[in-house]
Amino acid sequence: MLTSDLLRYNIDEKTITPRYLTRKHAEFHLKLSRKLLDIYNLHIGKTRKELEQALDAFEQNQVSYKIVRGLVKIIDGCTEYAPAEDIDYSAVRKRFFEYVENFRPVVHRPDLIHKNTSDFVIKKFIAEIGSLPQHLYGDLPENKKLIRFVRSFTPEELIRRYNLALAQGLLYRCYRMHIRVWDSYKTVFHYIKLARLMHAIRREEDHYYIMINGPFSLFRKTQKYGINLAMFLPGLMLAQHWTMQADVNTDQGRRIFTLDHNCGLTGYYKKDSPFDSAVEEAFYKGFRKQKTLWAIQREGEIIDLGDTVLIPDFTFEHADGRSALLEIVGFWTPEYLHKKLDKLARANRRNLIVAVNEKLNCSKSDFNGPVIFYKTRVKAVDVLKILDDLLPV
Amino acid sequence: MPATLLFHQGTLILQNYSGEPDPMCLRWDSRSRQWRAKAIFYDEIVRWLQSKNVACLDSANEISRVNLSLRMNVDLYPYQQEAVQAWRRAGSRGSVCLPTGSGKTWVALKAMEAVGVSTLIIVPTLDLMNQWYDLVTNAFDVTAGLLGGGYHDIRDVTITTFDSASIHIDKYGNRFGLLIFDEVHHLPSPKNSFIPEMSIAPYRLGLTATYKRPDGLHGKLEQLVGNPVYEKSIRDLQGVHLAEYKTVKIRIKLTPQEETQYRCYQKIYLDFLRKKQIKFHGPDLETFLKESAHDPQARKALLARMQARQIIIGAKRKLEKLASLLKLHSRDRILIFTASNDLVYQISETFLIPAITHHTKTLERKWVLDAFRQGTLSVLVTSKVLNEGVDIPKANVAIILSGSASPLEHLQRLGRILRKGENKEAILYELVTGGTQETQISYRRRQSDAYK
Repeated sequence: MLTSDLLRYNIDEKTITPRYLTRKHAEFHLKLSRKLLDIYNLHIGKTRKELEQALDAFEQNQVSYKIVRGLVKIIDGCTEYAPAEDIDYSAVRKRFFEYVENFRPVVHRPDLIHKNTSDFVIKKFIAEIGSLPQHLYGDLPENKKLIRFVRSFTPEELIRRYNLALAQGLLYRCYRMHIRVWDSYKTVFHYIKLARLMHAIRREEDHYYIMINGPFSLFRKTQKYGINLAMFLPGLMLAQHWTMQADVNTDQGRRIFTLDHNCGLTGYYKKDSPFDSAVEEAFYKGFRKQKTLWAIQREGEIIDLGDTVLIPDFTFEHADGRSALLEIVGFWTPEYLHKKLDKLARANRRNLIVAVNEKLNCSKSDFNGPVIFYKTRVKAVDVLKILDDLLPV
Repeated sequence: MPATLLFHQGTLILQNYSGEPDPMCLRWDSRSRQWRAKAIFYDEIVRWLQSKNVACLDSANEISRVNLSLRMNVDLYPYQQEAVQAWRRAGSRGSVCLPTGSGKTWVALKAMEAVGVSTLIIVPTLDLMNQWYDLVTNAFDVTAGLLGGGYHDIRDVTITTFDSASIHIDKYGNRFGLLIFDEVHHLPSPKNSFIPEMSIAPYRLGLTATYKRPDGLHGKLEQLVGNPVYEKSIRDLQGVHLAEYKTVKIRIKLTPQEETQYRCYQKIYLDFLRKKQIKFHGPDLETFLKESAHDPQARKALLARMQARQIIIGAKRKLEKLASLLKLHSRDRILIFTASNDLVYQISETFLIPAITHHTKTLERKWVLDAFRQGTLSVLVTSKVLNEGVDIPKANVAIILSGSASPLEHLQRLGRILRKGENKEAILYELVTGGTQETQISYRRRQSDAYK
């Protein structure tokens, strides 16, 4: 990610927008990226100081050093450095300085009384004790050598990462985020939780509105969760259809930063299979083959439990207006199961069907609503039987 | 279900409480549909629950009792004893203000012994973190934990930095009963104030030599830590408990060549300012710095300014003067300070003197400081990292080669050599480049109490 001083953005009375590297100047920026990657490649095996001098020299002739340094920051985050020589520098210095103590003061211009120059002491040390590395501080960051790329980029990939980092950078100063999501609720909430954030949810027609901030936001508009929100953003990007509005603190006051699924940015989190398990997938396929007036949808509803959410695996809607939910409880650890049962109890929905793996040692009394026990797969006919018996809500 | 108090990421949640709770600190959180308060109000909420006779399951409190009895018999100075007593009388809350080198840490260790609960010690630098680690493990029969500098090991007594604590306190704010803030004047920044606010600790101790902040924010400390409970200035203790010291200021002239170069760079910079009608200090200069991002002229001016400063900091005759001071004090313990890392390593390699900067790793830092303390090493060159409170008892000569214009910083640097030796007088040399901007910096420094 970028540091605040490297962010580039436009700001007006209401909004704040990253100044992305766009197609308009694509050729120029691709050339720039390629050049920077070349400089890095040429300096594999050289010291960071040499690399930085080369980058400085290059940067001098550039119009905007911010773009250059931003790209460099992204590249540098994916490289590895190592000390100049493969020795324990710290141990060498310890031995050396303890030895030097016998010759103080070390002077650079000897006189009648003080005769020990550094050259003299160094030669004596090498003769009496042992070798010294070429550079006494070969382990300092600037003296370390560039070893390799941990992850290599094409110039295009570099620019994509850079643009995403610009967007994430604006979120460092965000104190509240509003998103609207049409799909992939489980994924989105997975990343909200992973980033230790809190939510408030509202259903709006065919999608959900979710406000996101952190526990302390109740007391103060704080940017403390800005970094969490920046980490969440690539998670949101895994949804197909979404919008985002971030309230950002700036020196000029509150500004709004917006994004949506057409923004052209790409996240770098991997999208898992849309199904939690093979059991779910098999059930979904099986149900679609049935002739029925019940329409099935994955993750169609979010049940807000306040401090957490329950997103049943499937929702069903009948042409006559009836609706129902299905949650498949597979094989999990006891703690997970306990949490799940607690969530189901708190959700307290009449039309929430639960399909439980027999191995879990649950009984019907653990659940309020309709239950199906299954061995290896949930059968569509079993669910349909319950669905057809449901009364209109 | 009885009412339950929970700790949640630096906040407290009151669950299953029917009705509206009295304390104003508890607010309704419509997101999670719970009553929520900042963790700092733990004490207030618990006392209210008790006064109302509400049966409440306290799941928030994970503070442990710890047997912290000092392993050695220490005769505290009267002012140290008074400080501990004053803090106890104030409900084991508040700040103690004593000059650097007067043994604030003993006040803290005594305070820990007195309350005997799990303790989080928060310090400004990694150096101080290491030093407190040594102190605590020497003083008590405990294994201390560390958070920061690559360590993430939480124990009943844990030492951490302001930076690490402000990031992680939302996870551990319910584990500690006592918070000790070394150099507590760092606390009232928006980021750092999360540390006290997200902690349930009923006991809090602040330590500092400079309670007052130029920005006036020390007022916030009373709410976060408690009132100042004890104060003694450097002059109250001078001669009695600390070594006498004198300061020697040496003016260094630039070489003719440096002078020409300096003037040349300075001219580029000043011409630009004049052209753009920018004042030297304040917000104008900041705008200037921001502008330099896309204005090549501004960048050139900025570079010229940096180069001019570089000439002053690294003035050749300063190094020559340093060489002669090293000869003069060849039997003394000498600390050399300079703000520039490059210069630290230049001096280290020229005079073969061990160096400490923020790049120095924990173990090497510890080795160098220990060796200096024990006398196996007699000279040490360092950049800003040792600025605050690192305890180096045997230094009696300090040489400042370059510094920034902060009176606070200077006072603390000076404090480093104010140790009572055996009839030893401490000397502070200040090498200032004459007729340049550094003279002004030095003048501003002298405004602090220590020089009067």
